[in-house]
Amino acid sequence: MRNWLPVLLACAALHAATVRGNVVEHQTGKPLSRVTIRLQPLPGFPVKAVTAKTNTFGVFEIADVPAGAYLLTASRANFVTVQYGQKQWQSAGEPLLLADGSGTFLDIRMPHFAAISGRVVDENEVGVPHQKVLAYRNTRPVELAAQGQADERGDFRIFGLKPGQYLIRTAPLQNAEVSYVPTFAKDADRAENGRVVEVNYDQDATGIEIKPAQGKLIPIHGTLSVSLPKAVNLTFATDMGRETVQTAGPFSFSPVPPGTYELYSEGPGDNSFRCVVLGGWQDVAVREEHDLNADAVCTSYVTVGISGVNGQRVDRSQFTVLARRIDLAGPGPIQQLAIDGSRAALVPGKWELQLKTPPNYYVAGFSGPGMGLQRKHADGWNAVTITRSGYVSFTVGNSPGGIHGAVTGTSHEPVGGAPVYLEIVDRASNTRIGELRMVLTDTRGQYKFQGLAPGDYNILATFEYQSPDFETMSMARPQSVYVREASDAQVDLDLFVLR
Amino acid sequence: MKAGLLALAAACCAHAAVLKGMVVESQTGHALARALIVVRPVAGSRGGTQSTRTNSLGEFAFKSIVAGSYTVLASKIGFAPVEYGQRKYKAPGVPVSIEEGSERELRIVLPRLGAITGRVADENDVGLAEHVVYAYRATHPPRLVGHAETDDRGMFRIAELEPGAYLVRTGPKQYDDGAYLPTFYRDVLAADSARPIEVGIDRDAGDIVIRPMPGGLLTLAGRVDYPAVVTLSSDMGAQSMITGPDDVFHFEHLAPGKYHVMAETSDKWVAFQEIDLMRDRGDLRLRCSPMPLVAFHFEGAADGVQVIARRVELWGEAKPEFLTLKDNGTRMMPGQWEFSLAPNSSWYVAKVEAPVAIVPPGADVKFVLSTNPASIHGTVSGASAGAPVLLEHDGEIRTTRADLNGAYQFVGLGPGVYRLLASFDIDDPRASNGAVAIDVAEGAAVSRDLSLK
Repeated sequence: MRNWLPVLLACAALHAATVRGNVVEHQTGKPLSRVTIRLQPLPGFPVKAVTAKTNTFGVFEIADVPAGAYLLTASRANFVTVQYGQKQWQSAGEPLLLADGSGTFLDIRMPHFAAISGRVVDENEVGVPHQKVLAYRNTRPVELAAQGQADERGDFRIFGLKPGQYLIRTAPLQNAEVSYVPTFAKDADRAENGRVVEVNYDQDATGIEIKPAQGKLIPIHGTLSVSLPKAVNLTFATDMGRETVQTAGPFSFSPVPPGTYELYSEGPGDNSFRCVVLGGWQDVAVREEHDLNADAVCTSYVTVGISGVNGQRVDRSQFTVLARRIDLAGPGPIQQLAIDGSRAALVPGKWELQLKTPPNYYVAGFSGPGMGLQRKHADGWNAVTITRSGYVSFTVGNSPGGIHGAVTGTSHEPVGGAPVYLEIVDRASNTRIGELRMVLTDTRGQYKFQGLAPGDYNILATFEYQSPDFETMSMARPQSVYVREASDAQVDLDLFVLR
Repeated sequence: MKAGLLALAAACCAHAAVLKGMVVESQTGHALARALIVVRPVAGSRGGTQSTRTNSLGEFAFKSIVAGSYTVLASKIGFAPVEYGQRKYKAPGVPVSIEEGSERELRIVLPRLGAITGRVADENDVGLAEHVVYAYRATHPPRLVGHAETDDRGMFRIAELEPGAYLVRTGPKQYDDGAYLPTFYRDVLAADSARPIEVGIDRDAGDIVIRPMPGGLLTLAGRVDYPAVVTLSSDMGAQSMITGPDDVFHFEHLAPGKYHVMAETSDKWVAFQEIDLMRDRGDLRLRCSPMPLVAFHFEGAADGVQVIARRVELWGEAKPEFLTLKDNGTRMMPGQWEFSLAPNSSWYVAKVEAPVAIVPPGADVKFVLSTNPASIHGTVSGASAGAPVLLEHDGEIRTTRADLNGAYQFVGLGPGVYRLLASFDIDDPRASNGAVAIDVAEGAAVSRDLSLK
């Protein structure tokens, strides 16, 4: 099938094809209306992407499509987005080949996300009402993924989950009757002893019982002092989530078991140089009830330096800096840092910064308060602790490396539309650093990565996965590549197929 | 004082009785830990009110109860409260009689309240996620009592509902390519054509499938003359927003229908407007003025007067509140209100004059009181200690309990025809042949003995 691709594309003038199809709910076969169908040409094929919606009967039609190879996706809120040609729900889709004048009819089935349901019960197996229940990814440290709330019978259902392993935990609960400390299913105080629940798309893992332990909870309250007469946002962060209030003085948060938590404030300053933002950040060791003191003080700019590896000046306007706050609940939302000259408003706290470069640059190093220049893999997220003000600095190289090549199948034919995954690895610790990159091969089976920092990489071409983690990549035996400065390595890849 | 001492002496030397028992879940028979137990003496008993919680095994014990008659109330979060011996939800319980030196053991069964479960589905019977579903008491007009949101399968469950008839309705929902109108079960737009759902105690009324009707939703926007919090309320509850730049406000995805728009500034200036929204509106102007001053006039008497006010919203009545008056007046939010007075033995309310709605700059509310109220008293015969006595007049029902000797009384009554009934089972004298009708004259002290029905 894939062998036809170059031939087909060679003769694909601008003759039109038609794609029709029928979309149904996977489990029931009921027609799905309002599904967005997107037809995206492979890289290097100069036509625009087209979208359409299914009608009441779950039917769509896209006419007058130039013959060629496309990736087709179907998406609807609360359903898993599916791609045409997926082997499994977690696989990447294969290209849809449309011959000149042809009519193609597709049957598309859409699954739901996974769900976990069960009951929170007391010592007599009686349901505990209104308990908040949290689902964590079974990673270390655990990562909060979703939450739900038990009803008056103690029944809960957490839905919208991606496939994988989860740990289920109750949040603290205090009312006139009882005080429960956070407990992992079934009755564990630590994640290590918690019951692991594995789920897949379109699957409900049922019957998960949690018996929360009674214990001491400590109310969180105190006074915030603000440098300016205005209210700011004050956030209390735990590994069970965040609670934010707006205050200029007294504050209180839901009670928590003894432990160490984070408390931070954030608000706009008065636009003066000395008071760009109001903020404060502290670890709070909670042992017993007492009034906490927090502050939101005037903070000046953080200087963000961007310079060449040898200290030379660069045109800053080509770069953008992304920032996200890190607290006990995990990474916060990603924001683009507004940089005025070299000055940025960043409130005190733990942050991660990432520099986005144009293709002719790579991130060579990063340094922040209290740390030397990090020359290793600075092109992902870089952790930094901001106090009052300070200086963070990126160095960029203007002679990045690259990797390019061809992806071929079992009969050495070029494979178009194949996902090629690239990860930076630390060979010493055998881990992935930074984020996975992905490109698709073009119609001739060619791929290209640009703007790479020098270093060790693993590269894999496969339709089997959509976003493989380090372990999955390793099992698929990726090719190792060392990327040198200013060099473009040619790496031809055999398409990996699970057998 | 002397009498008190004597009573105390009597109490100390009598052998205290023990009242103990167990509380269990009705559906499973499992023990209910940490349930609250309150014992209250029937009027005339010597003991006082006591409370405790069940232990881990669902057991409770009061170890020094003074002999007498007590009502026993058990409650637990997530369950319907139960008065021991009650025949149905919220009916009065049968008092427990405790002899001196005795030990009495009770078993109390707590049921759950009711729930409505179902699904919101599209034209192909595919579940619709993230739709809000509202439950109304099936009254005229319907009164909003609860809501829930559908999950990824379109399933919903509205729980902790008291027994009775309900209407269920989806909220408005906007999608990229169209919208759904609020739709009652079963697939109708008007409450009058909606199908009531009967909810019983300890039961889920299930399989309620609603297919919302497609239709257009509307926008309501405008400007207040000051920065303010603007609240938009309808028969689906209220939503608020803070005005943006130029003091503008904007609400979208609204179903056509009646709305109340209210603005409140930080220094308590207010604006109020009723709107029948039939098309998009972007031009609403709200002019704030000081909060309306409501002056209360009490004709005939003014001693011991306590005004109770209840706000009437499009979704139903808010909780009644006692008003704090200064020079017989107070400032109140504009809108519809209902007023009444806390009952009093030395007068009755003969007449109330109040405007339909409170609007700026203010309003007068007049109560005409008569200082010559009537009363009804008597004795209930039979096993009557603590027997509930109900008195109905013009659809309004007052209840009291007979004391240890069966004596009861109602005071502060106006003239008119009353129906009187003593019963543990019936909650409305109009529903019983055994009720006694009495024509009460102004200022009369009527004596009427009753037998327990």
